[in-house]
Amino acid sequence: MAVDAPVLTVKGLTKSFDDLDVIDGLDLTVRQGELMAIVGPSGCGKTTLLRILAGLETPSAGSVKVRGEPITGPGPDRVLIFQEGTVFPWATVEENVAFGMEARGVVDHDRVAEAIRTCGLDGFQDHYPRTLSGGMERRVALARAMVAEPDMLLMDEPFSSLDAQTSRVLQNTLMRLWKDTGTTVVLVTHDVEVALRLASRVIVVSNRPLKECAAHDLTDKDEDREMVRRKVLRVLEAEVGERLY
Amino acid sequence: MNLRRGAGIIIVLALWQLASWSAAAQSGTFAVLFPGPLVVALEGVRLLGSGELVRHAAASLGRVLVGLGAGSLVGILLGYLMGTRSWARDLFEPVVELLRPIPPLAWIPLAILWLGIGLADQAFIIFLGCVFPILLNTYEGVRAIEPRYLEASRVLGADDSTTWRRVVVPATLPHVLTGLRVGAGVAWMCLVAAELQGVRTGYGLGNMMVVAQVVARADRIMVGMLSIGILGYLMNRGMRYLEGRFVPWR
Repeated sequence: MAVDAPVLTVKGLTKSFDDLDVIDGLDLTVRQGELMAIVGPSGCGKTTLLRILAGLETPSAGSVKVRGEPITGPGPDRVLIFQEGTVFPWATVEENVAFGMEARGVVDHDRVAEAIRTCGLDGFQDHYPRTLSGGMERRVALARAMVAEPDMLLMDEPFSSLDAQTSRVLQNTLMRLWKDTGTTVVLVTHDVEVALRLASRVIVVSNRPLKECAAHDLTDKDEDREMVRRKVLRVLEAEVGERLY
Repeated sequence: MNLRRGAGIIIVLALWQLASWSAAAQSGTFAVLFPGPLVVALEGVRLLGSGELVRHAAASLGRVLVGLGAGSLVGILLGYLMGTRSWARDLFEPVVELLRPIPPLAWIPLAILWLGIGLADQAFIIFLGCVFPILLNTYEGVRAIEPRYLEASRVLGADDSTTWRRVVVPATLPHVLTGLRVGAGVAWMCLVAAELQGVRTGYGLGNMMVVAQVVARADRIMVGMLSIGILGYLMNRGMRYLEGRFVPWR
């Protein structure tokens, strides 16, 4: 997996809703092939940032570019997995997973079957989402996004409201897919431990409006991760004014 | 559950028969005006055997289907239009809200003046009765679509046509089918009122009941009422079947 040149560049990004500034002059760079985690408390503007990257919101000011081209709307190069369930209740698992391909006009059934298998959904192809657990629904969303073969996967709190075991299984699935495909992943989470476990780089955001952020590269060495963990916690503790762990 | 339902019907029939016997014991006139279920059933079998009941029911069913068909077409199309286009919502919502409270039966004098007595005026009354529940259910169905499903469709690369076909239509289908079911019920209610004004062909359950009233045949009136109940029930079951067939995810 090649982790090199910036694939996404955010410069002076500002976003306001009426009189409320959610993002204020944010600079950010996402590198090709990395799994970047954006960590911060709830309500600090992470989801808004992700929606702007997905092309669902327009910036109030500043620029957001993918490979040098400004983002003007959703594109086939970026797929967002929403925090709340967006698996279509009226479609079976297989129809849900195939949706992105169908939208583009060609359905490769082998690839759909492979995504279903990779995400541990074998045997559930004909099931409707109401018969699936929360964790399985998240896996359907992940399989649906991966089948669309995006250059960049944007994930909004993908492990929230899951039990520890289900969350761990889904994290492993994501890591396997990321390593196999080399897709760039931007993951938003409030869970520091999840970010440290999965990411190759962690961005800490702790204030609203979201403006400055500290980036920390992570290696496979445990001591590096522990050092970043302490740094991240210090930033968050300074923000909330009490000891977190 | 089925046992309880069956028991409920048997209890009602038994009470009906007892009330009829009790009325007949007081006066011979009551025996004619308030026949029991046994007498009504015998008259029903006789009318069925002669083919008369089938002809009346078929004529009524035809009127219901024409009125309901037109109401469904207009209600569904306008419901989708108002749900998806703000100009259509601004244009039609005040008109719908103004016309909706007017009972369909209030239109009968105008319908007869404009269209004369016949299929057109009866279908028109039925149309007015069923179009609003179908329209409003469709409209509310479109409005109730979670924006996140539309956004998910967009980020997965779907164009408007795919989003319409694979998200909007299936998401609203349960509401549309509920609207059709409510509309069908209202259509049967409007039918009798429409047919009470007279029918040109001489056939129709409502017309059969009016003629029976003139000759004091309460048993035949009750056969007409029960036939409408049974046909309405069967249509409702049919709609339920369609819901199960087209909305299997629920």
